[in-house]
Amino acid sequence: MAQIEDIKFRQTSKFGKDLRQGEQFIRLTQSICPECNKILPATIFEREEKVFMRKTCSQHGEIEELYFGSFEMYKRFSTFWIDGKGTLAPNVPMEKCACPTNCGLCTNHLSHTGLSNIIVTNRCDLTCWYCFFYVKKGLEGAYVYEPTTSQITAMVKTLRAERPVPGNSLQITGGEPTLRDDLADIIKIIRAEGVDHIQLNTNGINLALDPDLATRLKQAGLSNLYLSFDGVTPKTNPKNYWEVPYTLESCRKANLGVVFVPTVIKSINDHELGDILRFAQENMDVVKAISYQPVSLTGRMSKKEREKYRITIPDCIDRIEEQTDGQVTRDDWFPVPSCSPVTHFIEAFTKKPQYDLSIHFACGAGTYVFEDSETKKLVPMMSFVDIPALFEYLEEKTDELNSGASSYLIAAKFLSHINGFVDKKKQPNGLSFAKLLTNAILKHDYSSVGQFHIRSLFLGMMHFQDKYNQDEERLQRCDIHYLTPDLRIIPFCSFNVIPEWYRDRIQQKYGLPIAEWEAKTGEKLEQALYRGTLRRANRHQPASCGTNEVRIEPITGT
Amino acid sequence: MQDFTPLQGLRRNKISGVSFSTSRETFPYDESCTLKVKFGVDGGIRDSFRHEIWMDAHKRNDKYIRITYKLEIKKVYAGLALKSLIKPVKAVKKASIYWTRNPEMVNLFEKKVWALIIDERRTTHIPATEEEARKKLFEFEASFQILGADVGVGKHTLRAQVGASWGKHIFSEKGTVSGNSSSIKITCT
Ligand code: SF4
Ligand SMILES: [Zn+2]
Repeated sequence: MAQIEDIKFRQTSKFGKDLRQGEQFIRLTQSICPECNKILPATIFEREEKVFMRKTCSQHGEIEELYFGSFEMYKRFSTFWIDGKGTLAPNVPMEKCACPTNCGLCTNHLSHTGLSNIIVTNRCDLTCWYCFFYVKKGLEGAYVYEPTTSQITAMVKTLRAERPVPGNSLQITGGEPTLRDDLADIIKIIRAEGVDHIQLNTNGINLALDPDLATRLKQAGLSNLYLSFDGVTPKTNPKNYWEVPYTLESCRKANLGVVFVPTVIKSINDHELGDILRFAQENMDVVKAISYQPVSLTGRMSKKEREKYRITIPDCIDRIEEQTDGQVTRDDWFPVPSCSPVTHFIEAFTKKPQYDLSIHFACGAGTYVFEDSETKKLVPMMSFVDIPALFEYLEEKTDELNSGASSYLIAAKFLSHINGFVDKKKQPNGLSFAKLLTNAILKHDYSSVGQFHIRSLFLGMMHFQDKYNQDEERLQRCDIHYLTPDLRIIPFCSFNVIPEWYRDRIQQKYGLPIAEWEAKTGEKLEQALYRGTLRRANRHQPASCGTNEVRIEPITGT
Repeated sequence: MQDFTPLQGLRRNKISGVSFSTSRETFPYDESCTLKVKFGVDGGIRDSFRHEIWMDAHKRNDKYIRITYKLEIKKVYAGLALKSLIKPVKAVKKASIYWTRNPEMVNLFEKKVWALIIDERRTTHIPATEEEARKKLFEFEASFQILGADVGVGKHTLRAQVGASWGKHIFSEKGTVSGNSSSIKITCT
């Protein structure tokens, strides 16, 4: 037998040594200095049942940040750590791994694109105080960035060229994308390139003002709206509290599904996560999902300020449990990569590479909830499907398929077992989970997934990174990507976390200085600003839950 | 998965280090005793679970290894293990081969892959050394509490039957191994 060399992974830990009393080591990773972007060793550790990151820059000192609000959940989620296939068509050949420099995607990236983003404009009709994204006058080096339709076509072609899994899901984003007059044409172009899922990231105001816009966009090929929605009171949601009911009405008419996207900020709107869910439930005919996004803290912030606003995935999940009186509990949530057993089973069954959501377990989580037709209570999928047992079973069958078992035999076994994972007494009326899963897995018919005949909502969560908690192990697995005119595919958490290397540079290179843009178009930048027409009208039911009590409080920042 | 690459000169796989013990040789009927079973898998599959192979496996998208352990405790009559005292138990340990960014890892740029182990209790371990990774994946231990009522008053001879199996990987064909512990005696009074 060959002598086995025992390679050491962790030595006495010259970095890990900076653990203090009451702290438990979890892992070492790399991060960046929030001041100078230098790549730093970072320790992930537990203290008082929470997970933190600590790193030290020789120039800028020590930075400690809350990484994950529950160690218990971290441990449960970490069991789903599995690397993805990556892409075999990288745009940036790199011999060595040097994240986050030179993203695009490089040879070392571990996930193919799950959701791509194209910024069609960085102009916006709002001027939210916390937003860093839109172009405004008075800022040095401000550029209006609006890629041409031929640039967009080239970007989509790059996405479709990914192998072994061509990108198939795209978000049109901004700024406010509805400021582009040619938005319907852009959607058609993207469809023509073969992208099946197109969603529009919007504040919804133009869809509220123009009731036919939703129909026109749907007819062009739009799949759904990704609608910013931060709360159910004017104070928590100065952005579109008054307008959202109109937007929903337009989408209802157009039969266009809506995903609510609340950015969750501790001490600002984290007390309304349950109310947002209830409001979505009331509008379940058109609202299909909520994607809660714990805030990423941009710009220079003191530790005290960060502690005031910082909220992580487990904290949001706990708030939802509290604010729904335990209807949706912390145990109902699974990390995004928990889909892997299903993906790998289908891959082994079909012998074809499949779409794989292989992001890091600390990046995102999700669950499905159904409305009980009698009690109107929310019933999470976990309460009637033994998901851990189902995953174990699928992993076992994947091994058998990969070891040469007949797919017919495995299909027969699957059919005879699938009902055993479902508690039919607890399953909501009108839903057959076993049938749905069988169609998806064995017949590859996904049409019924997400279109349950009963009222349901997908609840998702993604915690975009910032310079304080940035983790290269997360970044390397990122599957939310930006398409850019230089035909790169840049991970979201590089593009936005280090804008000076990515976002700003791209917008400068491919955009126009404001004055030049105004001269070229004959428009003024501020012309597009929303004047609050629907707020003044005050003749409608605003976006709150099932009541007429409208709490009008001073609106800050708009 | 890619085609199997035969590894030359691998040792035959077998069950190793089976130990079966009791916390009390004699115990009253209305009390309990704890039976403990420990065993491991040795041979080519274990030898192959090492850094060099992890690198290759990761590159070839063979990143997830499951070892299924089975165990049953039987009562022995006339030298034959006949009646099940602890019904067959199945437990799975897994290894996920992943790209690490641990800055302490030797020669990070070239050796960037490591293995984390998810044990049968669904706890994740990041082992400090390759040998620790092998131990965590290929060694299994379980305890069972039995009551006097489970065995009945009298002298009993017990034996553990153990086994392990795994699927095909780029570094191994699928395999199954099994074995027996030596017998132990307990007396319930
Ligand atoms: S966008 Fe950020 S949070 Fe989301 S998958 Fe990518 S790295 Fe993770
Ligand atoms: Zn620094």
